[in-house]
Amino acid sequence: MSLEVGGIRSLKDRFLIRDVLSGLRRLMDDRPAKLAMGYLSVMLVLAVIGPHIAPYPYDKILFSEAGQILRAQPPSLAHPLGTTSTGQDVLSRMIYGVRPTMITGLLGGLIIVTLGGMVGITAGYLGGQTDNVLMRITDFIYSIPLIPFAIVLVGVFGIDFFVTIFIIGGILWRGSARVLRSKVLQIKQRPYILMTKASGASTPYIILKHIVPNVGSMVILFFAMGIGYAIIAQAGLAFVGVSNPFIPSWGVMIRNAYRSGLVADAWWWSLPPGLLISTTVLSAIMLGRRFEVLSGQTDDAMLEMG
Amino acid sequence: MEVNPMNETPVLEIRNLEKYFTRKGGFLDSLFGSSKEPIRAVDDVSLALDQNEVQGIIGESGCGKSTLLKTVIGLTDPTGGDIFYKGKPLSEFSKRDWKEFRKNVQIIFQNPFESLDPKFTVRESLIEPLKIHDIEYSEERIHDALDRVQLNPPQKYLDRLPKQLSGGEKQRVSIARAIIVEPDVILADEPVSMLDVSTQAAILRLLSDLTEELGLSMLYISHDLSTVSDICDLIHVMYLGRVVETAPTNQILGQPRHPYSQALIDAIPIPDPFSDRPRTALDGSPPSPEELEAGCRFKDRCPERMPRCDTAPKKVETDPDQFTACHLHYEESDSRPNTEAALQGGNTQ
Repeated sequence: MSLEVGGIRSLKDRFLIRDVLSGLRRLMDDRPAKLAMGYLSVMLVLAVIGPHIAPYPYDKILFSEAGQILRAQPPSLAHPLGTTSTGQDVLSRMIYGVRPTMITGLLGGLIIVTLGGMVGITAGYLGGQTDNVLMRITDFIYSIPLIPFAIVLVGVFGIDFFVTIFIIGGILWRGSARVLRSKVLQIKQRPYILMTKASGASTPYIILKHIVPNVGSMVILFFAMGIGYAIIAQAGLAFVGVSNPFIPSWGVMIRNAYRSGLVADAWWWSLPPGLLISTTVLSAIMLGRRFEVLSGQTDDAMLEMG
Repeated sequence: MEVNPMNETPVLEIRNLEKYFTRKGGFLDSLFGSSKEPIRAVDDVSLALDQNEVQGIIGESGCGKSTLLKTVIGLTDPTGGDIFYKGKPLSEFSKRDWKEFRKNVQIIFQNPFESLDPKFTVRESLIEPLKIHDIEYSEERIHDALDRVQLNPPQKYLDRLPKQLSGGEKQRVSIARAIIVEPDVILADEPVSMLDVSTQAAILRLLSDLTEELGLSMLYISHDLSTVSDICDLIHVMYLGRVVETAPTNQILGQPRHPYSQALIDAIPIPDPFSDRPRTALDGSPPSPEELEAGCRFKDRCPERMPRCDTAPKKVETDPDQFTACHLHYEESDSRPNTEAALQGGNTQ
């Protein structure tokens, strides 16, 4: 670690980097976490380069040599996962589907922790009336059923991929807000916060420099869980038809298979997207859980992880 | 009420300070209109701290010591009375005054394991107060602060995280953090109670030297009379929110007037198995601060209980510079306390 005295900015950057690095190091020592991270990394790579390595464009209708559309063909060498009822290559659609899934997960997770963090930390730290108002809003959000609400909102805003994500993020932040608030209630009574307060630091300063870094591990946990929940919710919405059908997400694939009436017959079409949704969500949540376990074992670990 | 030998204004003065916590009743209480008495954590406490003076406040857990300190430093607002910093009341502070006060009055907390941000290195913890107050600093100043708290060589500690320090080292860093802005007053909330005995002595010596060298005033709070008597010039004994006795250290150790002070002093262990001394064993535990009766708060446990104890005792000068709030030491009819009579009354044991 360098010895020169940095300004406020470089100081903050430094300990952020310090925390992130030590957190990653610990995760890499844990087998399930390594597995989940490996899986998610592959998915991220596919999300970036997927469209370039897929054998066919996802919406290309394939014809046999005899000039007939290849409808619901079982797996073969040319089409390892067979084709859909409209003659599209299932494998290509699967690979294309990684990108919308990852965008949903990352953006959804980000909205969840950002909104939840802002509401939870503000409510917890300021307390009093602010806390009361913010937490009653959170309670209200808790009373909203996700899917019917999304159907109504999509009716208002029109069917759009990103609108769906914003709706999901706009509702699912409620859990992280509650937990982060309780964590902040605990931390804000610690002597180091009181000491900083007594030496005249402003509230935003204390929140940014002391509270946020110390709930960091919690935020990461909720981000990982948020990825999983957002993907599941998005797939569910896509299945009931509340998502842009022209973006080849896995949820849309299951919906198409279902609507064609071939779920049971064309198993090569209906099963893989479902399996991929489950494994992706499982990886994200497992990563979060392992993180929670690893960082919860000792106080030291809690420090290093966050 | 307190002694003020010099005629200058005290650095920090507390007058009739009160901190009551109101309790919200439940839904049923509000339905039936029963309201609860507030908890009197700090009740009518006055003291004056002069330049370079160290005063101690002792009392058992829950007597309001820490609340008093938090109120003095402005973390909670008092419900009555006032606090004066260099003659100016906190209630009339402007933003500028507060900034000045925040710089010049520093606090050291009891628990060294939680008084440093676990995410901050020693260097970051130390320069934080300097940054908050826009004070130019050099590497030297940081080294100097660590030097003063005897963390040598400073380079060894600068980039450590709190978890890489021992309890004593952490407390030293907390002290360095407090003195780095060159304050006038340090408020210490049981700074050694969670340390090993050997470390306690070293930290006490350090605090005592620092107040000497830097001309600091200190208000030192503890439940442990033996550590307080080590470094304090004047001791206040607190019981359930009230100061029951105030006296210079030697005087209170030699001739405690209040039955509670006597009990505390008799409880200091003497490291000699054959020493024999009269014991004033105290029965029971202090009443809950939620349901205090009128009169002297110590009356239920007091070995000298009298019918008069049902009225609140006045604080009278029982000896030169020694003030005691106990009915034993003055006659009921006295409007002005009679020192002679009080002395007589005090010598009954």
